[in-house]
Amino acid sequence: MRYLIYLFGGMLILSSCREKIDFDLNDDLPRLVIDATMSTDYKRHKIEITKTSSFYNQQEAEKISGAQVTVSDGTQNIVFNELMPGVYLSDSVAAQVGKTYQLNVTYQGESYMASSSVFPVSQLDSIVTVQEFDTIPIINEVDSTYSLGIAITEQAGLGDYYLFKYYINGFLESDTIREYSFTEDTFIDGISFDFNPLISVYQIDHDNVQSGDLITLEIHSISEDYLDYLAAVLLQTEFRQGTIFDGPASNVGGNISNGALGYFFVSDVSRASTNIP
Amino acid sequence: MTRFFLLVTFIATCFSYGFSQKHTISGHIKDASNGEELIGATVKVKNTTTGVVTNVYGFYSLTIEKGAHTLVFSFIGFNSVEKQIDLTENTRIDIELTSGSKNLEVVEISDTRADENINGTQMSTIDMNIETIKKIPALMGEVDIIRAIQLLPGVQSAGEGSTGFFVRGGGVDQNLVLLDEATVFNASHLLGFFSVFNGDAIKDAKLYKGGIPARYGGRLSSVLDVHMKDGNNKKLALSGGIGLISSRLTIEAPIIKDKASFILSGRRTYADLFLKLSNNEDLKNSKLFFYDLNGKVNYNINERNKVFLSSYFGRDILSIAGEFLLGWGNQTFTGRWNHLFSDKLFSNLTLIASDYDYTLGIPDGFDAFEWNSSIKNYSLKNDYTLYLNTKNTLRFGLQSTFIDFNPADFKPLDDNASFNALQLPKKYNLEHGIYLSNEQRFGANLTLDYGLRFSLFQNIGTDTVYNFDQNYDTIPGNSFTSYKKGEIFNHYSGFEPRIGLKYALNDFSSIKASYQRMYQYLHLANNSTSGTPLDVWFPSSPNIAPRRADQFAVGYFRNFKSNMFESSVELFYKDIHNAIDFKDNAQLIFNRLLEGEIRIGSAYAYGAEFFLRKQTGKLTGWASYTYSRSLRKINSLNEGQEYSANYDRPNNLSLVASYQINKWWQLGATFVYTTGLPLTAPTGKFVYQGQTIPVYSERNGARIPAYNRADLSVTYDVKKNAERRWKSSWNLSIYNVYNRKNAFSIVFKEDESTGEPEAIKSYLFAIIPTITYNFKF
Repeated sequence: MRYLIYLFGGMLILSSCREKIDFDLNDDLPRLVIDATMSTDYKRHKIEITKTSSFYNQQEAEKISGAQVTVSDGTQNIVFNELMPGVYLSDSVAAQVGKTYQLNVTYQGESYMASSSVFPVSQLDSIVTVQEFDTIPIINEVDSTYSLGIAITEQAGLGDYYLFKYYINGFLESDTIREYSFTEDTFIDGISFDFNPLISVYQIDHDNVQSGDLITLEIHSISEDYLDYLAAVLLQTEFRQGTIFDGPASNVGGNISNGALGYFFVSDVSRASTNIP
Repeated sequence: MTRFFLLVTFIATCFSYGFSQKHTISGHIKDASNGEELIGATVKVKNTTTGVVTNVYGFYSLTIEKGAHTLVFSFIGFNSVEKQIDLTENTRIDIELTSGSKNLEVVEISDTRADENINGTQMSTIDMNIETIKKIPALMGEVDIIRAIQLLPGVQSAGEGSTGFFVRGGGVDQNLVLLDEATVFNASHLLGFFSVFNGDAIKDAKLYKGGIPARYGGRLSSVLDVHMKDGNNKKLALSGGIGLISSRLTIEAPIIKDKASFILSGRRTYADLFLKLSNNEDLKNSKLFFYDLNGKVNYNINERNKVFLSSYFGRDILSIAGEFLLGWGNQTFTGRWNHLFSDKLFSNLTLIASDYDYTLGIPDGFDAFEWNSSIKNYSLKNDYTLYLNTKNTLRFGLQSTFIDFNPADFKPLDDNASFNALQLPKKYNLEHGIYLSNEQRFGANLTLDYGLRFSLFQNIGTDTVYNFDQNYDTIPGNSFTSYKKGEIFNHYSGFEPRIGLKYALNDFSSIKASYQRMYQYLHLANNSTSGTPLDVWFPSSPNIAPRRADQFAVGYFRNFKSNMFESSVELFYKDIHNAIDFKDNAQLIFNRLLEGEIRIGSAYAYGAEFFLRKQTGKLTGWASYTYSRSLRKINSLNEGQEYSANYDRPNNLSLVASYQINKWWQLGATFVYTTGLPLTAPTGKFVYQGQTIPVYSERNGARIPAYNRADLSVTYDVKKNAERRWKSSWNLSIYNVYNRKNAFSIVFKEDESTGEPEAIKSYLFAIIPTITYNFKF
C-alpha cells in the first residue's frame, strides 16, 4: 500500500512522446557492489561481489575475485569461500531471530562492512491459487492469471516489513526487484487474513504454469531500511519514465560502508506451498 | 514589540503636523464602458511631478496646495482627461475614462500616459492587464495569466507545459498567489497545463518579485496579486468563447445601475465529452476535465462605503472507467468592506476563506477506499491607507489566519476491507502579521518607502509531534509528544523590514533600490520537477524552523520617446536561510514521519534582468533577458556540496510582440529561449538482484539541451462588429510553430526488450494549432 501512489503515477502518465538521443556521459571510478543475503533457513548462503561499470557498457558486470568474506554474529564467524569468480558460499548454517550479523569483506586492502538484525516474521498459514479473468479497461483485453492468496495473521504492533518471493516447482520466479512484492504493515497491522476476501501477493501468468505445478511462497522479515532501499530501486528504475511525476534522480545507497554499493540483509522466513488446480 | 510601539508613536506625530493650507482631492477612476475600476491609473497636477496612482480599488487621494490647478487623469490605452479645478475645500472627483484603442485606426500615443515605471518607488514589479495577456499566443487557445508571467524577466517556468513558476531563484511554494486576496495553494489545472485563472473573469494581475510591500507576508519570493473583475455596472454584457478544448461564458450586469453589479464566469474543458460518443463502455465512463466558476457581487453603498463578495470554485476530475477517481481543486471566498473614514484615510476590512483539497479513490469493490487531503485557511484582515499629505502615504494593518492541514485521511469503504484506515495527524496553526509602512517624498527626486512587518506563527494542539535524533530517526522510547486541544505549544516570530528607494535622475530615468526580509512558515512537500495535484503542505513546527529570505535589488529605469518605450535593468541577490530540500528517494506522501525526510540548508540566488517594453502604437510587446543562478547547499545532499536548484536556468530570453494591422486584424508572436533544466546524469551503473541501477555522482551536474520555441497567433475581429451589438472575433494560435521537440526530461535506462542501455528524452508538445471563437454582447 505504501507505494500505491507510484502506481497511480503510472496510470496518469501522459501521452508524452519519447525518443532515443545521444547523450555523452562521464564515468566515475569503479566501486564494489555486494549482494549479500542470509536467512533463518539451514543452508549454504550466497554472497556475490561485482563492480560498477560505465552506464553505456553492454557487457555483464565484472566479477570480483579474491575477496575475503565473513559474517559474524558476535560469537561465531561464518566464512564464505569463493566457489566461482565473484560468488562466495558459506557452509550450511541458519541465522537466528533476534541476533545481529556483521558482514566483513576485505578486498585489495580495503574493508567493507555492514550489519543486519533478524526480525521475526509473521507465519504463513497457507496459500491458495485462484484463477482470475481480468478485463483491462479501455482495450478490453482479457487477462488470465492465478492470484496467489495468503492466509496469515499479521503480528500486532506497527513496524513490521515483509518481502515475498515465489517459486514454481522449486525455481525462483520473482528473481528481480521489479518483480518483488513487498509491504509495510501500516494498513494491515494485526489483521488476520483468510482467503475471503482474497489478499493476493502475486499474479501468476496463466501461460507460465500448468495444472499440478507446485507453487511455493516465502515471506521474509526485512527492516524498514531495506524496504526503503527496494522502493528506492524501483523509484530510480522502473518508475522513472520521464514524466512530470518523476522525483529527482538520486543514488540508491545501501547499508555497506566505505562506498560499496548493494545491500546485506538477514531475514526470518516462513513458507507455504500449494498446487495449481 | 517595543519597536512597533515606536512606529505607532511615529504615526501619531505625522498626524499632528499634517494640517496646512492644503486640501485633498480624492475619488475613483473607472472605465466608462463598464464601470470597472482602473488600477494603476494616474492623477497628475499638470506640469509638475506631483501625482498619485490609483490603488487596486481604483481609488486615489491627492493633497495639494489650495488654488487653481489642472489635473490630468490618464491610463494606458485610454483617452486622458484634463480637469481644471479651483481648490478651496476637500473635493471628490470621480472620473470615467473612455478606452482609446479600438475606435481609432492607429492607437494614439498620449504624452501624459503613465510613467509609473520611472516615478513609483516600487521596483521588481510588473503589472499585467488582461488585455495585454490576451494578445499573447495561447496554448490551446486558453488565455493564461501565469503563462504570460513566465515571459517576464526574473520568472522561470518549471518546464514545458507547466504553470508552475519560479521567481528569482525561489521555489514554486515561495509564491504567494492571491485571488481577490484569498490564497490559492495550487494554481494549476490538468496537471499544470493551465492555470486556475480564467482570463474572462480577471481584471488585472500584479507580480512582485522584490521590494515586496509590508502588507504582504508569508512567502519568500514573490506575490502574484490577481483581481477579479467587478462586473459591468452600466449594462448587461455577455462574453464568451468556444475553443478546441474548452468553452467559456461570462455574464455581467448592473443590479442597481452605477451602484451594484455582478459578474459570473464559467469555463469547462470538454475533451472528455467526446469519450461519451465512444462505443466502449469503459471509455464512456472515463472522465478528464476541469471547470471553474468565478463570481463577484459589488455594491457601492455610498461614496464612503463599498462592499464586495467574491468567490472562486474550480475542480479537476479524472476518472478511469469509473474504477478510479481523482479530483482536486481550490475554493476561495472573499468578503470585503471598503470604507473611507475621510478623504485621506482609506480602509479595507476583509474576510477570507480558501481551501485546496484532493480526493483519490476506488469507489467500488472490496478494495474500495477514499483518500482525502486538504489545506484550509480562514483569515481576517484590516488594512489602512492614510494619504497624509503629498509627501507621506502611510499604510498599516494586520491580519490573522487560521490554517488547518489535513495531510492524509485514508479510509476503506467496504466493511470487510482487508486494510485499516489511516489518519495522519491534522495540524492547526495561526499566522499573524502586523505592519506599518510609509512612502515618503524628500524633495523632487527622492522617495523612500520604508516599512516593517512583524509576523508570528503558532502551532496549536491537538497535535502529535515526532521527536528525531541527528540521523532523522525517531528517538526510541520517546518517539513522539502529544499536545492537547487548543494548546499553543510552539511559536516562531520575526521582524520583516522592507525598504524601497527611488531617486529620479530626471523626468525619464530613475534609480531604485530595495531590501526585503520575508519569513515563510508553510512548506510544500513536492520534489518532482513539476507540480502534481497531490501536494502536501506542512507547517513549521518544533522540528522545522521557518524559512527566511533576504533580498537586495538595485535597478536603473529609463523611458524613451515620451514614455513610448520603458526599459529597466535590475540586479538582485537573494539569500535563503533554512532552505529545505528532501533526502534522496524521500517518501512525501502518507508519511507520518515526513519531517524526518526533510533536510535543511542554505540557498542563494542572484541575477541580472533586462527589460524593454513598448506599450503604445501599432506594435506593442516586450523583450526580456535574464541571467540568473539558483544554488543550494544542504547537509547530507550531494555530499554536502553546493548544487543547482531543479529549476536553475541561467539564460532566459523572451520576446513578445503584438501587431495591430488594422481595425480587424491583429498578429501576435512569442519566442522563448532558455538554458535546459539541470539533470542528474549517471556516471555508472550496477546490478543488484537482477536490477540494473544507475550510479550518480553530482546532483544536477548536467543539463538537458536548451529550450526554444516560437508561437504565433492571428486574431480577426469580424468586420460587421461596428454595426451591431454582437461583437465576435476569431483567434488562430499556433504553439511551437517550428515543431521543435524540446526535451522535457531525459531518463537513462535499459531498453525493455533489448536490454541495451540508452538515453531517452521525453517531450510534451509538438506543433499545436488551435482555433477559438470569442464573442461579446
